[in-house]
Amino acid sequence: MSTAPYLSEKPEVAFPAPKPGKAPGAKSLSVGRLFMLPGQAVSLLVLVMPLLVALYMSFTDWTPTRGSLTDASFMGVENYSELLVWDTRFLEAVGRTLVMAGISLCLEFVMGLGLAVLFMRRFRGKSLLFSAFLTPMMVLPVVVGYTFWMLFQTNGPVNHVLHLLGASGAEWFKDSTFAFAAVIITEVWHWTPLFFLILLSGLNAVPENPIRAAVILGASPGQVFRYVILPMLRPVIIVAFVIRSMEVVKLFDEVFMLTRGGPGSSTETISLYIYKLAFNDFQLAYGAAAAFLVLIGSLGLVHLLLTPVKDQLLRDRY
Amino acid sequence: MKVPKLELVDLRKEYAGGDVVAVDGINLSVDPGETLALLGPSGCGKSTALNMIVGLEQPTGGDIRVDGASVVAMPAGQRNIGLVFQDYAVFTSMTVRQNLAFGLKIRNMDRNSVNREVEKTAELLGMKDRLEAKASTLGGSELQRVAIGRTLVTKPSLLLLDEPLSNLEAPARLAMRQELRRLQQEIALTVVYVTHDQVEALSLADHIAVMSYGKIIQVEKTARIVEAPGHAGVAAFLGSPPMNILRGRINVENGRVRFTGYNLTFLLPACSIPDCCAAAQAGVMLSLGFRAEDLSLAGAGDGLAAGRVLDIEARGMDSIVSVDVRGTIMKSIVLSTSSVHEGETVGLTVAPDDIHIFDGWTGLRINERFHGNG
Repeated sequence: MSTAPYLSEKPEVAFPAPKPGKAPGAKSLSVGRLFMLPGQAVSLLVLVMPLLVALYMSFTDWTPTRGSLTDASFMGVENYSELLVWDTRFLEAVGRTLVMAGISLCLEFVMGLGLAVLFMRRFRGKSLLFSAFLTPMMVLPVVVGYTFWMLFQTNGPVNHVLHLLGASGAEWFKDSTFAFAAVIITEVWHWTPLFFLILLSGLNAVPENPIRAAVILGASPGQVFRYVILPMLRPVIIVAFVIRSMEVVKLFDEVFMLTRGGPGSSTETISLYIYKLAFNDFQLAYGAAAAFLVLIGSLGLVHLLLTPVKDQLLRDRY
Repeated sequence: MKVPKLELVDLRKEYAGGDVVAVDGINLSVDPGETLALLGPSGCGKSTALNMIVGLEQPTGGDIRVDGASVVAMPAGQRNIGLVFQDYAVFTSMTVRQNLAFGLKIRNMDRNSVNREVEKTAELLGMKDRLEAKASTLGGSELQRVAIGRTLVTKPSLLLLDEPLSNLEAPARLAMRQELRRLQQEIALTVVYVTHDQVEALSLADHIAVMSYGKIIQVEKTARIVEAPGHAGVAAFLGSPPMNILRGRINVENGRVRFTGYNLTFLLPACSIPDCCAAAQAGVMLSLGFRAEDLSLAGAGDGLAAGRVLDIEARGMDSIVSVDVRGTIMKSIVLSTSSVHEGETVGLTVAPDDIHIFDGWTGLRINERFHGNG
């Protein structure tokens, strides 16, 4: 590095160099680490250990009837290749879950955004409606599943309303399309509030002046929304999609209560299939391999979703 | 394009059902091609006035006329009035080019014309090589240029600037002030400039309107408003430090004029100002103004009044000496502080011509500083 001629190599007045040895606060840091140890140990025991055991298990042919895991024979990647190449039921479950996720998430997004935009305006009973709209999110998935199972019964309220409207009722759980629709309706009812809540907070955080600037420049409300508000909302929208897609990949309770994956396997999601593999057929090793594939797939999906806004989200502010 | 005239007629804005009056019936006229600074402390209603002119807020009463035609009923987007915000309000998800093109695109201008206009504006603002940069990567003064350019490209009939330099750091502010002066000269535009910074107002505006509590207390040519403020409120706001203002009454005693204010009384140099004596005859309440530059220090027994030096604030070329005159703080600017020490007693003198006299109740100026200037 070249230095200006009027600057000497070593400035005469300088900040004192730090003394060699332990940095100040090093001792307190190690005490802090000591305090963290029990927590770390518990997390190692209940999170990392089972994960490692499951990972090892997925490379074996172990079933509970074969005694201890050490008795099982190591099979390499056979479980994985079986799943990815031959197990059409698994591949179909993956595809079905993705379709279900795609349809539900899009509907939840559109409805959540619509509601959020509506809630930016002033109207009577807003605070009451706000609480009401958030309620579904707080109900246990099992309860939601059971409630909708009752609603969608052949002699249930949904069909009754359809009859009143002049439409013929449907055999919701006997027809694969209707069963699929019932799962999506349940899922959308349950989780639209989450989109609504995230998007509403996002909309509230959008600065006002760019919107006003666009209005002054002559933009219509639609143009303001499309060109100014939506781009600013983009990171929030993507985060909402990431949170929901992580959940929807694990979709289990509602489907279990509503259809048990039927009729046939027409509503069988990945989680339900893995559950059946592990706890109906006791193929725990094979199930573990399937679960790891789902984990890898989910990680890839989240990474893909976050890529466009990663720079924006990971910006250094301080 | 014809440069229009802007008129505000009894413009009023109330909030909370009339409990809060943000703008209290202001009247203002800005001639074509003129730059008017709306100057006042924070919360005096200047930004509200600007928002009403541009159409972001609806007035409670009064009228806004551009070239004689009322624009009050017109939506903001149709008034063709540009506004540059204090925080720039640049669309950060877009590039500089997209920002500049925004106003033209939504007017459905064809792509070639949009590009031509955008390039022309970028050239004017010295941003031609930054056209493809994302707005989120720009620095403060660049964002300011984009904000100004985005407005100028749409060829507004009026340009409103809402504290456009206050978010910039000192060196950038100085450079941008020069830039704005250059732009004003290059593009003939009627400009209303809102600021609380008198240096900005003084360096950029042809006329200054000083606002206080929702009212305009004086509109005057920039040079004259500092020399002879027409209102005690303007005098107390302009200048660094602002004028010393003392409220009290004057009485004539044996041909000499005695001023009696709060806890303090002194003889004025002479009744050399006829208006001053007339006021004394009437016995009205007065506000006397002494500019810090005009107030000089003297020996303890000399001058108008004596006081104790409270504080000496060095400013480089000169210093501000605060003198406590029986509870009233008077400020004087002195070039050399070698003979002044904190805690010592000094006298304060002022030339008779440098006393500004205002009506104690209305705040309006009584004496005429420059004869013949009206």
